[in-house]
Amino acid sequence: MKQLSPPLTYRPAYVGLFASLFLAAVCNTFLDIQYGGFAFESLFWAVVFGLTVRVAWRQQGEVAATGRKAQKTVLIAGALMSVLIFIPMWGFPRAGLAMLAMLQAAQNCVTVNRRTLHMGLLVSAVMVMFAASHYRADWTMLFYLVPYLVAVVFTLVAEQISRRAQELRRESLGEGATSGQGTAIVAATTAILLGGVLLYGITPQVTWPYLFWKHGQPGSLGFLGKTPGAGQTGRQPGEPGSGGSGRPQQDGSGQQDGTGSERDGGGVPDAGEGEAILPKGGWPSLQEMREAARRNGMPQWQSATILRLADAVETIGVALAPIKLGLDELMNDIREWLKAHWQAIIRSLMSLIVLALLIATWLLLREARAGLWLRSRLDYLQLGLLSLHARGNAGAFQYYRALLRLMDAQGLSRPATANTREYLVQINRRYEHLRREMIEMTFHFERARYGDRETTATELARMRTLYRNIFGGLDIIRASLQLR
Amino acid sequence: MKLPGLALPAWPARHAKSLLLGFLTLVAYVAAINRVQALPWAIAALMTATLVTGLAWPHWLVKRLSVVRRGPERAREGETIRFHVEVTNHGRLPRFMVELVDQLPFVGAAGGAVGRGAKTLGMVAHVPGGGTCRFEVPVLCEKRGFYRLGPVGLVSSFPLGLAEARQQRNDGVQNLTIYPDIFAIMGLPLRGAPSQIHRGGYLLPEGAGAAEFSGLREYRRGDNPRHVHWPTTARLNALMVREFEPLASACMIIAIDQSGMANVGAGRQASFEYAVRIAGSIARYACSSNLPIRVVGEGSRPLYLPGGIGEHHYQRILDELAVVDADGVTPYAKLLQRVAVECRQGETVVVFLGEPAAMLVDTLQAVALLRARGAHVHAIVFERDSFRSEREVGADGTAMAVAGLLDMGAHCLRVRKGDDLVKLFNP
Repeated sequence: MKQLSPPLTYRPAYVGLFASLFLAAVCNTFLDIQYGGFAFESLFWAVVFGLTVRVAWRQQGEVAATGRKAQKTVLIAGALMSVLIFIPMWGFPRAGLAMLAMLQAAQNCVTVNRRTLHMGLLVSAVMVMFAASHYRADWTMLFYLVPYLVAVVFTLVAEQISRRAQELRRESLGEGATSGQGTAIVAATTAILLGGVLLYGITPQVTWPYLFWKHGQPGSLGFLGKTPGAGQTGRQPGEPGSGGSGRPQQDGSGQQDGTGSERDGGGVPDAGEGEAILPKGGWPSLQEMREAARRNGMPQWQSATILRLADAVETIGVALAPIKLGLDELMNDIREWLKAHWQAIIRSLMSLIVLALLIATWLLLREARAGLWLRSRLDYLQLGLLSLHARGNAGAFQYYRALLRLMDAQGLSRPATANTREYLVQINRRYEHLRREMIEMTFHFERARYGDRETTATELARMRTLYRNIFGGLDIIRASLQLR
Repeated sequence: MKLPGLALPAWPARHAKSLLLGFLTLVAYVAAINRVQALPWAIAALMTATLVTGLAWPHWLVKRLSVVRRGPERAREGETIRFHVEVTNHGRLPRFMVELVDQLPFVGAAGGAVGRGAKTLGMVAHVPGGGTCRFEVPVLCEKRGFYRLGPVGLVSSFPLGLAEARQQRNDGVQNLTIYPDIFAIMGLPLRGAPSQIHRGGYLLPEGAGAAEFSGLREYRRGDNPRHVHWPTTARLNALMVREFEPLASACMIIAIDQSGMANVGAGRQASFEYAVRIAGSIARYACSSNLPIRVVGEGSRPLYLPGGIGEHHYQRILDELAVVDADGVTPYAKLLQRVAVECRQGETVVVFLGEPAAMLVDTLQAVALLRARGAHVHAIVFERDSFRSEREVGADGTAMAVAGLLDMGAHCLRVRKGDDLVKLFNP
């Protein structure tokens, strides 16, 4: 019987699980960074998760007694720590999160299959969501959040690839070329992350309140202030609110004063601050970056990195200022030029479109060999239906050339190096049911071409009949149906 | 374990992972739009990227790749052959985790499951842009036959197994003939047939041992004129021919029973497969001993190989035995009657008896006819019960056949499933 959840025996997956859980715990620890226990707490979680994941890894896909024993031990230790340390120190819900982390640490001891791995990642995601939605969370958490996302994606990809590779090794006849599996994992992780970054960048991060406001729907926003999304509309997590009073400056509502009523917009006229209706985004200013670097409890490496980042941004800004100025001027010039010549531009564009369409049509006709197709139909009209052919050998040549064009239109052109007999073999290979007609046609042509007498009218009439039969019998499918 | 009542229809089952991830992505976006936070948007974007990558990437991975599979065109049953596989990436970007799926009908044929089942040759974890990756695949030739291999297909579900892209081309199409597993036979209880030398069958005794000069006598009608001894004819003024002492020269006919009724068992352990192996081994013994041998059978395609000797003749027999099948409807008795008409006195006829008891009577009568014609019968009797599975039932006429054959003075050999044929034929 196939196992419901495949065993987990791949080192990269365990490494990824450890990294995900550790970074998720660090994200939460980061919230209390000003109290100075960041390093100790991080170390504590690293040890807890490291040891428990190691226990799981050593079991190699099957729960052993050591795993169960370790699970119980960690569970008891977690319970004691919760009662003695977590709850008194942090209270709920922070203590609850620490308890969840300890429960996961206990579960780590028996994480030996894919299902439990995914459960571990889910727990880490819950921990990260909690941290990221906390009011103390800000952009400096990205130092842990981004590696967390990388770790999660890496874990999922590594698990999937390693498992598939193992399955294939078991099922396939040969080993194949398995070197480069690590590269594959890295490539997949990178591709997914880059895709995520791209999508994140281009996705308009709207909210329901924003949409209601934008499209005139009534919405109880709890504020009335300036245009949302400008950064001054409400209190962002971790910073004092600066929302103003009044209603949004919508089109046509400028004549109204700032003392709106609930009927007009659901706002509260005397509200001093409001909730943000768009996520605060964008790159922090240099001032903000430097202030963040000086924050109490910030790890030395992170502080130094932020400062270096701020310096780099400043340097780049200064260096790029002339270029930016030049680009702005250029853009202004272009705009003015476009404004002055827009009619000519439209005309040129239209001409270009027409030209492109003509070229495309020509390419299409060339690809479809429309000229040849038309010529073969005209041949049929002239020679097959109206019997307008020359007398003697010239007429035989006409019929054979018409046959060549007909075959060419069917994608069976005569190679320059092939004689009539060789070409006949090629035709017969495809049009088996026209073999007799083809042979006779070739025979008539050869007699006209190499013979010692003129082609008679009877022979030309026969060639016409043959040509008509060939023309009508080219549809292989229809011919095969008729044969049945 | 799947519950029969809860089996999903094919399409949703195949795309269950994608659908689930798609649903979760949707949930993530709904969560994001309801929260004034950036992280849910990041998670939703990541999930979308995962979904898009998982669905689109496999289709790109199998493009601009070509596969070449090289291997021998002839092999022996039970031999392990090696296929050399070469995957070339004609694109500029690398390809990852591409599986190679091949049509190898002979794999698994030992158990009787001959089909067009796709077999995974192996996996290529990484092919650099413009690069080539090579590896070898050892494959056991399980059952004799003529097989069409390929084409080799490319499959990828990289990186997350959300979608599976397949590419099928005509690369790697080749034929493979697997010859039956021949075993060595040191000797057979053969009897000699009178030499045909004086009947004009042979122009002259070839080599040594076919006939020896024993004297002179007067010419009789039908004598080979080449044997006229001209000096004595001149001296006596009467046509005198050389007389040879006919040496017994054995010759053989192998009559294979190709009727479907006679074949019991499946795959390589079917009685017909044993018969083919035995026939091939006897043919090798005969050809190496310079004994003329014929092979006849009556399947859907008639099998008739005229008498011959030597390596070339043996190869022809092997070629036929590689593709011969138990697909005939002609009763074995009829074939033996035809053989009785054609055989010569003293010729050894190898017969295979594996028919149901009801048909054995006619067959034994035909064997009796062979004996009456002076043929020496070497019978291989298959014990049907040993080849049958427990579910199959039917009367086994082995005892009756053996008794009848021994009565007729035929040499008899009983073969059971799993017998070591080498030991059986070389006691």
